[in-house]
Amino acid sequence: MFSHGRPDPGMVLAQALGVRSNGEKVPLAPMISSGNREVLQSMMTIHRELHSPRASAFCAEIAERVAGEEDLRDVEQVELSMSTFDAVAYFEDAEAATERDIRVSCEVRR
Amino acid sequence: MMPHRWWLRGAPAERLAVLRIIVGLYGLIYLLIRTPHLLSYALDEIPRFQPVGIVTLAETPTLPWVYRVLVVITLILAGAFLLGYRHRFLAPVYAGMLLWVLTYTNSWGKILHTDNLLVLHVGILALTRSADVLSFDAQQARAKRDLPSHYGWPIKLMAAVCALVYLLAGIAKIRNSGFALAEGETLRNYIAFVNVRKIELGSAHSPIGVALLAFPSLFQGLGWFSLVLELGAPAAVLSHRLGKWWSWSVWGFHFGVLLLMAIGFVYQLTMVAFAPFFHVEKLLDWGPIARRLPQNLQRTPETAQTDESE
Repeated sequence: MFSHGRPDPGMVLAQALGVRSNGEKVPLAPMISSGNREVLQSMMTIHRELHSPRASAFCAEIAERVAGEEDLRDVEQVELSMSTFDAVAYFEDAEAATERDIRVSCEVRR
Repeated sequence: MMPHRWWLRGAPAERLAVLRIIVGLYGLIYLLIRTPHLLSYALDEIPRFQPVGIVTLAETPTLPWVYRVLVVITLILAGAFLLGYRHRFLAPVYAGMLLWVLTYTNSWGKILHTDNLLVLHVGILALTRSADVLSFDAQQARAKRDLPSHYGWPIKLMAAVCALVYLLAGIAKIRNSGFALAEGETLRNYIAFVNVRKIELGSAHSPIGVALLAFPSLFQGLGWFSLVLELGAPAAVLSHRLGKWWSWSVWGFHFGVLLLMAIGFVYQLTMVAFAPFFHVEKLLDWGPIARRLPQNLQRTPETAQTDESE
C-alpha cells in the first residue's frame, strides 16, 4: 500500500454531500452515496458517475436514498462535488483547507 | 543446507491440517460476515462493470441471481474446506470460487488488495494434502497420513507467498519513490490524506492518527520500520525464529495502520496470515482442544519432542 511518494498534502476528491436546512454540508456515508459499504468503492463510483453523462440521474438516486433515511430528514439537497483539500491543514481549520467545486445538485423529494 | 533439502524438509501432517482449519475457519467466518457486502455486487449495471483478473473471461456482469447462487455455493464449499470433506475434489473448487467471487467484487472500479493473501493461502491448502489428518476424509479413511516430506513444502510455500507480498510492496515503494517513505513527510501526508478521505466520504476516521500529525519526526521512524519489514521479508522464510519475530513485527505494523488510519487488514490482524511461520500443531496440545480430540489424534510427548527439534 502507498507505494507512491506524496510530498504534497494536497488532494482532490469526488464526494457526495447532503445540504441541511441550515445550510450545513455533511458528507454522505457510502451506503447512501453509492449503495455500497466499501468507502473506496464508493469513492470510485462517485468519481465515475460525476464525470459521466448520467451525473444528474446519479444525484437523483442518492437523493432518493437520502429521503428514505431517518437520520437525514433535514437534508434538503444533494450536491456532487470535486473538492480540493490540504490534508494536513484540514485538521487545524477544515473550512480554510477545503475548496468545493459543486458540479451537480438535486432536491431531496419526500 | 542445499536449497532442495531445505525445501523438502518434512513437517508433521497435523501442522498442515491445523493451517487448513485456521485458514478455513477464517475464510468461513469472513465470508459469512461479508455476505451482505458480497451480495451487494449482484448488479446488472453494464457501464459500471470493469472486470479484472479471471472475471475478464466474461464481457458483461453475471446475472444477479446466478451471482447470488455462486456466493451461496462458495459459502457451502468454505464449510467443506474447513471440515476437510472430499478435500481432493471440493477444495480446489472452493479455491477457484473464492478467487472468482472476490475478484468479481473488485470488478466495479476499485481494486482492493486486502483479500489477496487469503486467496493464495486457500489455493495452496486446497491443492495439497492438508486434509490427510484432522478431517472428515481422514475419519472416513478417504485420506491417510503419508511421509512428512509431503507436508513441509506447502507450509514453506505459504510462508514464502506471505513474505513475497510484503517484498513486492517494498520494491514498489522503492521503484516509485525511492526512500521517500523513510523521510517521514510522505507517510505523514498519507495518514492525513486517508483520514480526510474517510471523513469526507462519511466514514469513521482515526483520531489517534490525526493527533500524531503534530509530531512529524515520528513518521520518519515509522517509515523506516515499514521499509525494513517489507524489504527484509525473505529472511523470515529462511529462519524459523526470524519468521516468528518478523510475523509479530508485521502484525505491529498492521496494528499501527489500524490505529493511525482506521484501515483494518483483518487477515493479518488476526495473525491467520502469519500462521505458516509457527508450529501451529501445538494448538492441539492446548487443554480445551486436547481434551476434545479423539485418542488417536492426541500428540504423544515423543511426537511433540520431534516437532520441537525441527
